[in-house]
Amino acid sequence: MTAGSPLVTDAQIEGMLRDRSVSPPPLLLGDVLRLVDATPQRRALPWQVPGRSRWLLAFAVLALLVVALAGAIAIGSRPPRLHTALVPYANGEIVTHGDGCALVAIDPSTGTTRPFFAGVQSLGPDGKVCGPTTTGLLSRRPVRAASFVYIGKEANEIDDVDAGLVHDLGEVQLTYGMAGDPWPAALATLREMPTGELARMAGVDRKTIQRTLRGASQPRPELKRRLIEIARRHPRRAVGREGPPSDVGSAADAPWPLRGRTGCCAVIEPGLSGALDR
Amino acid sequence: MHRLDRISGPSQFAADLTTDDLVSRARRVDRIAFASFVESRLDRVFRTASAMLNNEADAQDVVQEAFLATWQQLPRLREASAFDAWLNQVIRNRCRDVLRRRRRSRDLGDFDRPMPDSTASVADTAALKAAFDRLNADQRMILVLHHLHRLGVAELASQLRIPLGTSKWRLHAARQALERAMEAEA
Repeated sequence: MTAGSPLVTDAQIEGMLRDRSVSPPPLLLGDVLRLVDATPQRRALPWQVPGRSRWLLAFAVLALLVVALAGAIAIGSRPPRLHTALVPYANGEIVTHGDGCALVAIDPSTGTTRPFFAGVQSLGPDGKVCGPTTTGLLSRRPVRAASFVYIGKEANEIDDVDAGLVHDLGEVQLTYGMAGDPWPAALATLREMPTGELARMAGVDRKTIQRTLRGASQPRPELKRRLIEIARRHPRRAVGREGPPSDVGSAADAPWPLRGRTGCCAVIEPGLSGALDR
Repeated sequence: MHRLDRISGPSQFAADLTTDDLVSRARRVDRIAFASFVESRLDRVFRTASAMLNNEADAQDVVQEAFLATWQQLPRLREASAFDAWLNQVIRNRCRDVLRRRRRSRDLGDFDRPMPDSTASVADTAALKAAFDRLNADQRMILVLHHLHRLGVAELASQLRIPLGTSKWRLHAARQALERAMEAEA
């Protein structure tokens, strides 16, 4: 096949290789067999056994499919999350509902209404915290102030913050005197919320939220202010059409801030008693 | 006395079986089948190793190590028909190890001692041998298989488990390398 060259020909190469190659010495076969006789074979790994590798591959693919299917089923059967996005307070309305009234959220895009969880604010006719399905005459839920924060008259314009006319809440809400730290109560509220949703609303990663809620780290002032604001909006959370959460009682015990106008703002703690209605 | 010494006539045993049967038996720790296998291929393997290394002692070591490695790893061989190609790869790798050790060693006196010459043009053959010793293991192997064992390019492709075009190209490259080495020797 190879063409001859001026320097070396096939015949020369063949002759040279014949000279170099020699017959095996007579004892070599015995030496090799003795070595083989004294040496055990190594065991083949499962995927190295002839004919078994394709079965192992098929089994692995099948196992992956089963795992994926089980995961899809688990995700599909997971109950819908009750903690949905916050419903702006401006979109909530008190409407008559049978003998009593109910708070509904209005979807501005479609104009439809859905139940709005007002359980932490009102009591039903049975004296228990009401949910979306509660009917009858609702009464004010008694609350007890854990601390008082005196604020200035600028808070009359507090709705401008929601409307976007005022950027910073601090411009319209001045606190005076021995103002209590809202952070402990806010922290208790935040712990009731799902960390994923909280992280999304605060614009930080989940680990930061988890560290903060755990008390392992103090948030930066900006994040702290944002988290307090989120905690204040927490009672406005909608529960959707699925009905009240199973743990209505515990949700009712969650603290929530009652934001007042000029005068004072009360931070409510669990174990409510007494009344604050200024 | 080891077990295989009691076996008489492995050649007769191997004559009745195909390569696939022998490999299948040897894979099941059948030492008799493997012994017949070694016997049938020892001459060819040893000639290959000695032609590549030009040293009988090194060739013996390489052949022993190669057969021992194939015996140990035989259960992991998936295709029985690929046994010869596999054996060639093992031989080539062992020869490469020997050549690498030679390069590290400064004392080359005994390694390059020429074997008895049977050709007339001793000077040409000596230059050719010196040029051949400049090649790497891959180039030596393909030249030995083609020129000594007279394998065609298709058989080379099969033995080396490479495409046909690659075997042609490698053979050509090995020839070119040999010619360049000849020029350097001159």
